[in-house]
Amino acid sequence: MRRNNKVFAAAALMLVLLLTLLPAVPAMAYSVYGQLYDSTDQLDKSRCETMGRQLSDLSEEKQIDIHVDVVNDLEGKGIDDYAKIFYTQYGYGYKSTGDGILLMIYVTEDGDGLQYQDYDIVFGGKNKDSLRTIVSDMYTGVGRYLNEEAFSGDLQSDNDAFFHAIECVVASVNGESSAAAGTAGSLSETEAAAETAAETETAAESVLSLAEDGLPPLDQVASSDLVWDQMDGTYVKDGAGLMSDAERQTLESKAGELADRYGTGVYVLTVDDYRSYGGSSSIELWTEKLYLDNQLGLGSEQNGVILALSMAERDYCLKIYGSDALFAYTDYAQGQLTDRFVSSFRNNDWYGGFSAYLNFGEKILKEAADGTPMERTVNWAGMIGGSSLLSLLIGFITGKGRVGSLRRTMKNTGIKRTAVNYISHESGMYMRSKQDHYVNTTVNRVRVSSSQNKTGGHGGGGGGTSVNSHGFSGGSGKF
Amino acid sequence: MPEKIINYKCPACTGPLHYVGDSGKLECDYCGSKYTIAEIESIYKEKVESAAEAAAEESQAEAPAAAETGGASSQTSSGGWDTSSLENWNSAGQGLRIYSCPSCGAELICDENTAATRCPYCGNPTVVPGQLSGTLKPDYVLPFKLNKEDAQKALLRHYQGKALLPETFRDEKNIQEIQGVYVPFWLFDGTARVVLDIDASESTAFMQGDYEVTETKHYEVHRDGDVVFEKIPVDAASKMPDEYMDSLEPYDYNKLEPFSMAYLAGYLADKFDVSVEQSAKRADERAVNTAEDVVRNTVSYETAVVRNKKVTLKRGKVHYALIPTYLLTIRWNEGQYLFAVNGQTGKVVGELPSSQEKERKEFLKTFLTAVIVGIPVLSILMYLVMYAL
Repeated sequence: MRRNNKVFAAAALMLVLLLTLLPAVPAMAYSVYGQLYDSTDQLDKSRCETMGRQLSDLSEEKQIDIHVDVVNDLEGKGIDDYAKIFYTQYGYGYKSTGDGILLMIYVTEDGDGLQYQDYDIVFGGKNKDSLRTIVSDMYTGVGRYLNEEAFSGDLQSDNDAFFHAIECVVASVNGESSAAAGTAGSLSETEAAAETAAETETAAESVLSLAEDGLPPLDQVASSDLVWDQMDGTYVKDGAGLMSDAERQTLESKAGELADRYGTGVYVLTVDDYRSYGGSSSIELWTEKLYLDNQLGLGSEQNGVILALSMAERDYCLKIYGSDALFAYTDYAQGQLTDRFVSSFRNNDWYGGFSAYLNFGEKILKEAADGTPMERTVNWAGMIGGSSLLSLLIGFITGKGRVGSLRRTMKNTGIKRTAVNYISHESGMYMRSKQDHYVNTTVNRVRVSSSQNKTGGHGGGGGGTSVNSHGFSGGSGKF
Repeated sequence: MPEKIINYKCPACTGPLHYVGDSGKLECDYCGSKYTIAEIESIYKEKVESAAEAAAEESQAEAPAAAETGGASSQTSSGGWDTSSLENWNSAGQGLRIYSCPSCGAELICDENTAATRCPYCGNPTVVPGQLSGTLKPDYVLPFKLNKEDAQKALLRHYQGKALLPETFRDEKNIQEIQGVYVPFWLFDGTARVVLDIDASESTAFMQGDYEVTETKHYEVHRDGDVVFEKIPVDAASKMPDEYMDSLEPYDYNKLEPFSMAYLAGYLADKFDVSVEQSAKRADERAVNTAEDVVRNTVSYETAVVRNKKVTLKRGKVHYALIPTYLLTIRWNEGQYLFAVNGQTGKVVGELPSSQEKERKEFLKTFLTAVIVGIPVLSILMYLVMYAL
């Protein structure tokens, strides 16, 4: 009995200690200050805000998307790879040029401050040569501060080292020598130069090897957490719950039929928000990565077509993969297909839209199986007939108009209703009062959606199927 | 009894004088002598005044005399002929007057408003002073600048470029008559006050993410202004078509002269028969329309809708002026066509006939051109829109 009491008391004490210590366990926290991301939440907030704003303004001014991300976990990857994944996952790069620079700093936290581990600079975009020059200079500057000596172990000096490094980033982008920016706690210039030489060689490797179409390699794109086989159905996965079981079954049967007959997987996926599964922030990259990670498609070439809907922002993505599927789903066919399902989805007719996707998909696959994939044909007879009729009508109207205008020149009399020629030259007009009083401002917002549908092509002049560097065709848009 | 009229005769040779616009003088048809208006006025001053007085007296005496002699007389007879059905012609009652030509003594029967004319027998220009004196005296005259030949040439120039005009119409022989006429006009001065209350707005549009945002700023605008007008013309002769007289504008008022009857020599002239009150409405309408436009044009926003407007007219002076016009009558294809020519600027107004055959040809030309060009162009456009773009 006494022994049991002791055990009970010890357990109770431990429970109390645990409960008291729980608040001390730091919550997983990070902070975002414009273009500056701090996953440690240890950096000086006001200095971060100032620096974040400065980076934002500089990005707009130079049209280079400049980011500084401080991370405390590389998730088992090297900093080079992790930086590239970060870059593509969060869609860095200036809107018009795609130019961007990311300085990623890897630190760990100890009791007194931050423990510097490593850093990397990644860049990409159209103007690689000028970016390479900036990045080389940047290495020179930041290398003097981002080292173990600079991060001396207390938070104040760690912050100083960090912000000096960012000042070097700003100096480099502004075209000033980053070597001149800041001095405290830095490596000597000789040591910095030596580091720079080594780093510059790796600068070339820091270039995101974007393909000609501007897409990063898929192995650099983060995978999402969505596991295809864990969801109900084989071809139709209704994660967002848009359809009834019966509707889903009907679509599933139809998709199965198409797969058996044409050897092409016709997939449907709905989710509440694709971003919640992690992976790329671009729905197209997300869908492509999902398709390949889950080995969708039939045959050795993984022939298939997938239509994914993300309900949070009403995004859709249509992707086609595999040579047989790409042969069937020409750009023209994709355009026709997209028009059919988007119009239904806009009216929240989910089953109608997916039915149209499957039924019209059957037509597309059938025509391809017959040897003539769906392409726009030019109806010359109709065009010439139409333009002839239109010309006759235009000719009649123009002829009548011409005669009418000539007739009007035959008579030049009429009653005058104005007296502009009789305004006094001396006195003319005199304004007694002129008042312009501002009342209010009204704002009207209209969602522009149709221009965002960038699927396949509505019949490109030359026909065929456009394929990107990942081997996919298709596109995305809003409904 | 015929009324007193004046022939302006050359002091050198007593030939008829007529006013010539180019020189600005009265010229003799026979000897070519030229005299200024002032010279002739001083010579004829007494004659004009006494002729005006005589005209006033005779028009008073004529009425009772006409009453005595009016009506049929069953007892009148002449040499065995039965003249019982003949009546004395009461010319005053029928809007006509009888004048006696001082050159040849011929009796001229004219409209009661005629102020200047030409004797059809001896061709001398004549002026009836009584029509344009006292309260009926014009303030101004705008002298003729063009002569008849100029007016005819202006008409022929007017024919140019008229693709539908029948070729036979262009023949000069079709011109039946050219008359230089001084048309009476009222010239109105005044001020129009315009008060406007306007709802105005301006918009800017820009893209914000997926949205097109339109911001519209709304304003209340108030304008209060005066527009001053001088000498808005309204023709005061009921015989003259208003659309012709309006279309002959504008006139160069810098050339307006104080009235003198000498300017009328050689031309026809009428006094007014449309009163100021009757004419004022047209002048008011023109002043109001123009004043509103002028004040409204001081508002420059993207949109402006007039919510309230008030226009007040303050009438000023009215002037009586004689304005030069040539009237040409063309006879063609059993129809008559009237044209008016601004006697100062040479502007021609009127309605020309249209040849149906020429209309058909123009229609066919345009129709065939449109079809021949249209078929290939529209086919290419259709191809580009439907397939290439």
